[in-house]
Amino acid sequence: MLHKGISSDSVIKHHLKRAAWIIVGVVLFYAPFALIVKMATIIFPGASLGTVNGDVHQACLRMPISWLAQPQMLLRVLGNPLYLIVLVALPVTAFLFAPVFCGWLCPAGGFTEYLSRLVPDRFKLDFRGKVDFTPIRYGFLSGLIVTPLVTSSICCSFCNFGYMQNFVSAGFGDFSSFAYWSSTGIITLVLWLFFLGIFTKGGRGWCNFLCPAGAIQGLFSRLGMNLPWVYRIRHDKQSCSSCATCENICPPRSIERSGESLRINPYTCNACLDCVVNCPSNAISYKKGKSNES
Amino acid sequence: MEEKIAKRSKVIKIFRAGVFFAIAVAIALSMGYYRSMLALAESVSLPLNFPSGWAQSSAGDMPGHGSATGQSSTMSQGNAMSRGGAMSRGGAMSRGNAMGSGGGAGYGGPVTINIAKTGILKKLVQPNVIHMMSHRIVNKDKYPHKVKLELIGNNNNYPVHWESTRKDWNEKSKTFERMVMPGGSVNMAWDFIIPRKMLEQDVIFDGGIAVIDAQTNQRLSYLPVKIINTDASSSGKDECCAP
Repeated sequence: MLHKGISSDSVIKHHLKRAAWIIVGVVLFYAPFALIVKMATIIFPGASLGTVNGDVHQACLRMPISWLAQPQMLLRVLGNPLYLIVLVALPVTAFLFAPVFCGWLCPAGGFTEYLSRLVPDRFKLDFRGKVDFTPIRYGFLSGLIVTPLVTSSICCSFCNFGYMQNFVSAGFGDFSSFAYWSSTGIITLVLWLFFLGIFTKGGRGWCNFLCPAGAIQGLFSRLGMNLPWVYRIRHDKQSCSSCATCENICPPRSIERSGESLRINPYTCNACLDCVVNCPSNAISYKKGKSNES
Repeated sequence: MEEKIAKRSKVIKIFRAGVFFAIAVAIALSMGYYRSMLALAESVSLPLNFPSGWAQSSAGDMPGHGSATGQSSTMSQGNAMSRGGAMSRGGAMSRGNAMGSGGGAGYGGPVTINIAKTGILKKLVQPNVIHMMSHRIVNKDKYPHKVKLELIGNNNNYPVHWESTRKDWNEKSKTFERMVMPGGSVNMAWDFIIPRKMLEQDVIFDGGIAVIDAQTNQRLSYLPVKIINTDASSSGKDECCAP
């Protein structure tokens, strides 16, 4: 949906830019490229990374989070510095710039988001206003950290990044990853790709509810949001025409209007900037400083 | 009055958030429980060290290699297991392994995969491919070893797909070409493709994985693996009439 007064060129340009960054994410994290693993092999020659065919598993964004309650497991970071991506690099980035990784680089989130755009809205679920994303997101994150202590770890069995790797590999002709199907894998695929992906408005249902890496970044984004020197999505109440365009196009369904004020959920906003380019009155921007309303 | 309403709505909001939070924690725990239930049948993950006590046994003592007497003598050397017939052994062995916990136990004990415990989705979609993996086959020795892996006891010649993320894995010779240094590890995943008619048997596979020094041909470790299909339980707790 394009609002009167918005240049379609700028919106198309924005989406092309985002799509290009998501492809950069694929090249960085996913086999057959896995550039980040290759770079780490050069930077950290002592690490065990040089011995493996790099793929998304070497830069896992889930396991280090599930180890947070197990200090002895966290020591594995010493053997693979790429585990620090999710423990240090992404939280710091999110603190300073909001979770730009989720909105611009994450192929697993971008894949479902862009696929969901192909499905008419009437076939999609919209969770906004019906459930509160934030407590579910952090409840699941807490559960993910606690499960290895109580029952069995769920980080590998229910991994959407692993499935994304399978799709990327299949795109390059390697279908071997689809040779084995497990019950948990089938559940993950159905939830991530279909139920919370393609058939959820915005295509970011998995990100909002079940992604631990996104939850960690959301937390750090929230922590920094009131500082004047960090970049965030800012809303200018005076310029706002209350057209609700931003509400409708926001992929993570993070924008909600109540009366005259606009509430941007700092825990789930992924700084994709779709709202910024689509706003007909330029009331939303991505910049430093405080907004006229929080 | 307005203040009271605002306060009340805030309390309701917090309560609602608490309920959502608790539900999400419960969902994660249920997923963990479901995963642990499937750990004995699907995506079996096993830690394996070498050299180990199992390697000291002669080949004839190993399960899947020799007689029934040979099996029991090897088992008595290993972990503390109940010995009350094949079925009870199966159940106890599985429990003793702490499999699927994300890498708990350091020693690779016997593995029993019971496909009767397979999840319903797997049963519907792909019941005949059985997956087993070891993220860490660790060299606990003081010396480096060139590691070769061997699947023993595949008497029915089931197709088995081997896969490692290591660059030096030589599929043809089943050898890791680089030396595994002390403390270092390799990884491997096996997919057993079982013909559907064979799935009905009580014992589908009875053999093991041997870790061999490719230079000296010395067996460094051995992990007995059994694939069974039974609803029997060693404790009887799964039976409806159990006390």
